[in-house]
Amino acid sequence: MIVHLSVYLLTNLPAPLFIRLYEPIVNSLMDRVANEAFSPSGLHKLVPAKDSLQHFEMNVKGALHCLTSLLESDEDMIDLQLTAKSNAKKENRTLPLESHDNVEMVLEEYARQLNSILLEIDYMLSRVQSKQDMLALSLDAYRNRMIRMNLYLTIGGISLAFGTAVAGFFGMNVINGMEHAEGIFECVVAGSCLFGGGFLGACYSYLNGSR
Amino acid sequence: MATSITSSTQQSLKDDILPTTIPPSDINDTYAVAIITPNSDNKNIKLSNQRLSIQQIVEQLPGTHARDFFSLSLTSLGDASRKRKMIRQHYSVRNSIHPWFILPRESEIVMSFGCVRAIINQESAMIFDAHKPTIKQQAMRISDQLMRKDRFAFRDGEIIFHNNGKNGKQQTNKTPFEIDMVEQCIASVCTMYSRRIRYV
Repeated sequence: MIVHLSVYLLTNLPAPLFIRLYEPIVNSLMDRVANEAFSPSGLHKLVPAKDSLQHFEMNVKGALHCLTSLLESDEDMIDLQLTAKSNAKKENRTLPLESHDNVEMVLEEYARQLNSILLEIDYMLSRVQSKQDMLALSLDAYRNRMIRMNLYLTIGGISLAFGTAVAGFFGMNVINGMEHAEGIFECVVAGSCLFGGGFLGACYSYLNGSR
Repeated sequence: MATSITSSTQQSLKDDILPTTIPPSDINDTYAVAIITPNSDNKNIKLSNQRLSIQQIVEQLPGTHARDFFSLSLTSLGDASRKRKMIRQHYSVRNSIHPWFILPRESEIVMSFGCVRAIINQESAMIFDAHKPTIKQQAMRISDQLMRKDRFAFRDGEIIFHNNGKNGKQQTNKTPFEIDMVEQCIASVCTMYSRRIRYV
């Protein structure tokens, strides 16, 4: 119920305000979009999820970068130990390099956790991306099918146009000298039909790649 | 001006952003701050919500630089009120990326980690933007975690116990407050992110 409500909010309201739990939303979205593969609205549903995931990814990357840059600097890790540093200062000594081991362990642990979260975000993003690619391919295939249909109808129309053009010429009430010729009507009809049919056949074979 | 409260999940989160005691002219220079202070025995943690001016904050934290406050980009109570009004009147998508840093200074640690913006020293920690309910909740969680008698963590395949009790059998060397605080701030953000992604 909650998941359905989340998906409703996701698809009907601006994204970054509402997407907070990613895994169930992405899973539910994948199922819904798969069922509506030929609907252009499917693409629109994926975009907010992807945007929000990318925003989340940037935040996690920022956190990870912050921890790794701290881990790379021994001086900063030593400086984090304020109590030890002030005690050492009172005794007029400096903290040894290995004194930051405890801080390093803590930071490494959370850097690992963030890294794991980042991997999961990458996985979800790649799932959303592949679904988006699949939807785009489906829509391309659907568009190509419509274009092909349109082309067939045009070829058919041109083929018929040959016959109608000849009929138009001979239908004019103008003396052409062939009005009383024996068998000329059958020849003209058969010729125009053959020409139209030939054009149709040639186009069809060209489209199917036999030529 | 200051309202002292003991850390507990039972605490009410309801708190007016604009207190009636602060004159409107001072609101632009007043910041809501959650202050976490360990008691002298380090067994109890006191959490208090205060409204401090930038001058009072700087006086309490002498080791910080002025540019640290620019980096923290704190929101005063006046700005918070204006933002709330703006959001009510015009919808705007929150697409800002948090600044991330942990800067050790002479006697303080300045950190902005996710939604937590804090300045930590040996005796106390200030968590800023405490006018937001989420920050208040985070501050309460952090103080609760700091107060727990028995804690353990997995590190490098080892179970490390932090036992603050008198009768604890396994007791590690006591972690200084500032390190504990930094760890809890990072841990709270990691837990929040983990819950968002994994739905557990």
